[in-house]
Amino acid sequence: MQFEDIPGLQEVKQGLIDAIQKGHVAHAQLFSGPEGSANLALALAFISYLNCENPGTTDSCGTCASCQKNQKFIHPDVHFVFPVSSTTKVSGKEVVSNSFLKEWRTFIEKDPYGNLSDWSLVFGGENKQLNISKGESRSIIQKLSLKAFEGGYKTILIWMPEYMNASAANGILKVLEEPSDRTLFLLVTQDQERLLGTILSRSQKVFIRAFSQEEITTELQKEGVEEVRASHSARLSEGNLKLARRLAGEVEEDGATLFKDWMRLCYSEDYGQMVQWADEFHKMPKISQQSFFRFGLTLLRETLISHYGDSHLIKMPEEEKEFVRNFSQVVTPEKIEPLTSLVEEASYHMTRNASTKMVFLDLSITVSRLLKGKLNGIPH
Amino acid sequence: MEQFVVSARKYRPASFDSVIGQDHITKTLQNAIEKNQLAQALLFCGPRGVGKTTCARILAHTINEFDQTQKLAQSMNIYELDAASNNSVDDIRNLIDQVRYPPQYGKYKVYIIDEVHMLSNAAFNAFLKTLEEPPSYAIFILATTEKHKVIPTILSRCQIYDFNRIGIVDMVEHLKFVAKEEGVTAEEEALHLIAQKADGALRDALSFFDMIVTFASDNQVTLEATLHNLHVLDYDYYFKITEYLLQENTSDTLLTLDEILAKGFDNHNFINGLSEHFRNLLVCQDAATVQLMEVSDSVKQRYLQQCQQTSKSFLLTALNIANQCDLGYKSSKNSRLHVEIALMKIAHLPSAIQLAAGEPKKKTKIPDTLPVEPVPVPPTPTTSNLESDSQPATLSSTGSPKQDVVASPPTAEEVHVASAPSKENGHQRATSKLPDLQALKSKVAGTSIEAKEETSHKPSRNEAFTQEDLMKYWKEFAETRREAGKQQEYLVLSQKPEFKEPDTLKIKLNSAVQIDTVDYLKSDLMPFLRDKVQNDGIKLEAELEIDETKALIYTPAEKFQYLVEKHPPLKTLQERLGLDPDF
Repeated sequence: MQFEDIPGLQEVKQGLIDAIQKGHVAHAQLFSGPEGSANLALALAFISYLNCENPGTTDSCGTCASCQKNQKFIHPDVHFVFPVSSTTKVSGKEVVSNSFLKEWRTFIEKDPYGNLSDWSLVFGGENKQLNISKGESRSIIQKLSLKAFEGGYKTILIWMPEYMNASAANGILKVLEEPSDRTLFLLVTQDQERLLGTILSRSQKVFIRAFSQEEITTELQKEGVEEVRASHSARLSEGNLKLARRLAGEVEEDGATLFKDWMRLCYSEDYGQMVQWADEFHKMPKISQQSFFRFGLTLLRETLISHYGDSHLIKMPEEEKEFVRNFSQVVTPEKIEPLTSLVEEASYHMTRNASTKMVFLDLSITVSRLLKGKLNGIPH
Repeated sequence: MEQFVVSARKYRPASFDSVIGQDHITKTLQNAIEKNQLAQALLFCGPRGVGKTTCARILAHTINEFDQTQKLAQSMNIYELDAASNNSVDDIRNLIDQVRYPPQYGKYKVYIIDEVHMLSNAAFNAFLKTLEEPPSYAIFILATTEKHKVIPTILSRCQIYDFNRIGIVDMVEHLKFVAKEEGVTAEEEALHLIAQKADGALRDALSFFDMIVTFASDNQVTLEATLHNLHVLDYDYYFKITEYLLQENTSDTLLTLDEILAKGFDNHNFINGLSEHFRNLLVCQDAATVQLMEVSDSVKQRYLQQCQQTSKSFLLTALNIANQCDLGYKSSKNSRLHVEIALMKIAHLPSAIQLAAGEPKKKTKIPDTLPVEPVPVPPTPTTSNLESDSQPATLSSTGSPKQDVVASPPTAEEVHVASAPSKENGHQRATSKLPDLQALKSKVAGTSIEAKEETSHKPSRNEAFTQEDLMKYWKEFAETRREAGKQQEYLVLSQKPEFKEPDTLKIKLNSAVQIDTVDYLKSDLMPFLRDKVQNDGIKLEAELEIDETKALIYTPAEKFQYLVEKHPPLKTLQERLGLDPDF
C-alpha cells in the first residue's frame, strides 16, 4: 500500500510525510477515523514510506526491496495484530493473529476499507465475537524483545485496538509507554472512545477524516462507475468508501424514483397497491432495500432544508428539486421528524431480519396516515 | 537520523522538585525520607498521566542516594514490574523469592509494581504476607489508575497516596517550559486549549503538544493549528450558532453547520461540543459557579456576555435535546439529518418557552372553567336511562314471557343498578374537582339507590313447589357436579338439606371449609334451583354444626381416666402405689 493508492486526503498524507522527514515519528500513534475511512490504508502507506530505501517527496518509491515486501505485507519487521475468533480449523491457544496472517494479507490487499464483519467473512469467523486476547499482548511483548531484522523500524500495527479485552489492553501499557528504540506502534481504530484512557494518553493521535463526497465520486468514476451513479452512491455513503463501492456495484434500481413513487402511493392511500408494493419490496435484494431507506432519509433531509428556503444547502439534481418542492408542501417540518424515525426504525428492523413484507406494509400505512394528518406522533 | 523521543518521555521529571502539580505528595515523601519514616509499602493511585510512575522512580532513586546516571546499580536495586503482563501467582512467587536477598549496592531494594490492579486475586493474596512484613531493606511501591480494583487487604497494608489531576495553570506553565526547550514558539491560547483538552493528565497534554508540533509547518504552535489538529471546533462557531438559535434563525444555523462539516468535523463531534457550550453557558449564569469553567479569561468574557441573553430553561431544554441526539446518534442512518433535526428543535425553543411562560396566566383562569366541566355529568344518567328503556325488551325475552307484569319491577331495579356506577363516576369527578351542586345531588341519589338495591332480590317468580321436587333438583345439581369431576363439591352437596317452610333450605355442615364451598356454589346452585321450581324466593342457609361426638381415647392418661370412671377402685390403687399411667 502506497500513499498514491489512497484517493484524496492530500493534507493528511502530506502531514504524515512531513512528520517522517522532520524525524518526528512518535513511537505510538493512533490512527483514528470513522468506518470506511482510510485509517488502515494510511497506516499501511505510512509504514511503507518509513521503511522505504529511497523515499520521494510525496510517496515511497515502490520498487526497492523493502517496498516490494511491504506491497505484499510480508516485511519481517512489520507485525500485524487484529481481532480474531476461533474457527473450525483454529481453536484454543492457536487463536492469535499469527494463525490468520495469510487471510489477513488477502483481506488488506483486497479491501483496506472494510469493517470487522468483512474481515470475519474473509477468515470464516462465523459471526463469533472477535477480540484481541491476552495471549496476543504477550506475543507483542515477545516480538518487541527482538532486534529489527532489517535494521530499520520495528512496527506493530494493531487494527481495532478497541477490541482488546481488558487484560490485553493493560498488558501492553508498559511497553506502549516505553518501548525499546526504533519501535513503532500504530493503533488503527474506528472507535476511539472505547479505548482505555491509559492507552489514549500514551499515543499521539492522527485524526483521519471521512472521504468527502467529491473524493468518493472521482474514485468511483476511476473504477469505471458512470458519473450519475457514482455521485448518487457517494451521496448516500456519508464518506464510507467501502459502502459507496457496494452501493455503486449492487444497486440496480434507482432508489430515488422508487422512493418518490412510494411517497406518492402513500399519499394516495391506495391500500391495495401498498400490499403489492410490499410484495415487490420483499423481492428486492437487502442492499437495495437499505439504500432505498438511505435515499429516503436524504430526501427527507432535503425537504426539511427546503422549508428554510436555502437552496445553497441542497445538493441534488434538478429533477429532484422539482419533487422536493412539491413534496415539501405536503410534508411540514413537524411531520418530518416522526417520518424520519419511522423510516429509521423500519430500516433497523429489516437489518435485524424482521419480515420485510410486514414491516414495509406497516410502514406504508403508518406513513400514509401521517401524511394525511390522521396521526399525531408515532404510535407505539 | 536521531531517534525522536516523545516529550512525555523526554521531559519525565528526574527529581521531586520538577514534579508538577503534586506538591502534597512530593513534600510528604521528602519529609518522610528526611525523618527516616518512610513506609515500606506505598500505593500511588490517581488518573492517567499525573506522575505516579515518575514519582515511584524518583523515590526509588532518592532513597538509594543515586544519580540517574548510575545505571548499573540502578538495575540491581530497582525492580520495575509490569503487573499487567506478569499477573499470575507464579510471578508474585518469583518476586517473593527475590526479596529474600539483601541489596548488593545501596540501602534499599525497591520494587515498583505498575498497573497493580491487573494482578489476579490469587496473586494479591500470595503477596499479602510479604507486603505486611517485608525485610527491612525492601520497599514496595504499587502504582495503579484503578484503586477500586485492588483488594482491601492490600489497601490496608499500604500507605496510600492519591495523586491529583493537574490544574490547567500548572499544565500551561509546563507546556511553556517544554516549548522553550524544544525551540518551539507557542501561543498562550493554544497551550491553554491543549491543557483543557488533556483533562488533567499531563501526558495527554504532552502527546497533544507533540502531535501539533509534528504537523505544524515551522515549529510554531498556533491556536489555529491546535484547533485543527485536536479536532476542536473554534469557540466562535458555538457562539455564532447559539446566537442564531436564539434568534430562531434556522437557515443560518444550518449554513453554519454545513460550513463546519465542510471543514472535516463530524456531526457527533459537533453535537458534543455544542452540549459543552451550553453547559458552560449554564455555569456562567451563576456567579458562584463561574469558576467551574476552565477557559482562558478572554473566552470567559464572551461566555459571560452570551449567558445574559440565554435563559435557564432554554439551556436546560437545549441540553436535553442535544443529549437525546447524542444518544441516538449511533443508531441513526443519516447522521446529518439527525443532527439537523435536533438543531431545528432547539431553534424553536425560544418561542416555545415564551408560550410556556404565558401559560401560568391561563392556569389561574382554570378555576373559572372548572364548574363548566362537570356539566357533562348529567348526560350520563340520562344515557343510562335510555339504555334501560331498551333493556326491558331483552329481559322479558329471556325471562318468562307470561309474567310481563311481574317483570316490570326488576327493570326498575335494572335502571338503578345501571345508573349507580355512573353516579359513582359522578362522585369521583366531584371529589377530584369542586363539590358542586350536581355532585351533591347525585350523592343523595346514590344513597337512595343503595337502599333500593337491598330490595332488589324481591321475588319475581313465585310458583308453588313441593319439598320432593326441590330435593330432586338438589340431587340433580349434585350429580352434575360429580360428573364434572368436582368430588369435593359433590361431597358437600350429598348431605341432605332440611327444608323449612315456606322457602328456606337449611344445610348443616361440620367445617368452615364446607361452608365456604357452599358459598361458592351458591352462585350456580341458586339460579339452578330457582329456574327449576320457578320460584325466586328460595333461600339457602348453611349452618356450622359443632360435632359433639365423643373425643376418641388416645393417650395412656386418657385410657386410665376412662378405666377409673368404670372402676373407681383403680384410682385408689394408683394413689396407694404412686403409679404413673404413662410408661
